[in-house]
Amino acid sequence: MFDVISNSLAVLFLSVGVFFLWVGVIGVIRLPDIYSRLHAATKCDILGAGLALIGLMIYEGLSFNVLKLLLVTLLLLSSSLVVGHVIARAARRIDLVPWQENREEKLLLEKEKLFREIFKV
Amino acid sequence: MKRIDKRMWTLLPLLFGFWVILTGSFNLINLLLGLLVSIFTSYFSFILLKKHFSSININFRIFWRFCICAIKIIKDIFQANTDVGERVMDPKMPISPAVIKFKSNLSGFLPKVILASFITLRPGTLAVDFEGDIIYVHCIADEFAKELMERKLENSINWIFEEGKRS
Repeated sequence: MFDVISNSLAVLFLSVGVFFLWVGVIGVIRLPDIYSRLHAATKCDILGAGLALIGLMIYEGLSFNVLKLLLVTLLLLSSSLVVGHVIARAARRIDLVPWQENREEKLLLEKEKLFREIFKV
Repeated sequence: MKRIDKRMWTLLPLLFGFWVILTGSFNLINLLLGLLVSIFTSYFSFILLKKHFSSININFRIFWRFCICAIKIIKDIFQANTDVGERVMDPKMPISPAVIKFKSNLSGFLPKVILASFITLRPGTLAVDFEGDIIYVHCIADEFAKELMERKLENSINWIFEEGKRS
């Protein structure tokens, strides 16, 4: 009986974790620029992988491996934050401009205006 | 040099314990290798981060208050994920991103690191860069920038590091 409860809890945690990882992947594909993609990547990474690891801990029961999984979770939490910050900082240091709504249309209009000014069309 | 050495001895057992738990075996060769690696790691990290480590003072109360704040932030992590999920799954994708400058009044190296981490964990904000007291924060929508400007997060970090007025 106890096995059934712990296994189903483990499956629940694993599936919720995988769902959040899936959301993160879709976010990385759909969002427009590197900064907003990092939002999806870092946040969903932390919660998704954390929940999946908690599910594995429940599945494992009381053993030495649980301690290992706990340490891996802590390491993942801290390293994911730092890596997200470092990528964003690198992007800012090479002057990547954040995406804004209708920015490309505005740029096109400016180019057209410049073209008309130069060639007096 | 002496002060660095004393602080190095506090990091070394942590790293060694980490090694022992992750490898999970108690062979003599394994333990010796772990000791060697943790001595190297703690020594070189103290050489590289000397000036930052010299300003850090942790006692038990700061650690305890940090744990309380970390438990509180778990709710924010869930909220952040559901928020990102809603925005991503929406066909129209309601985002209006902007990078804002946020001037913090925290002093010291460790409070700033904790502030940047908590900003990244909270919904809709991402710490991008640090220049002195100014943090560049990327917000995925305008309401998160307003929420950040209320300085609730900063007050809670001040509460962690404040001196013992109340017991």
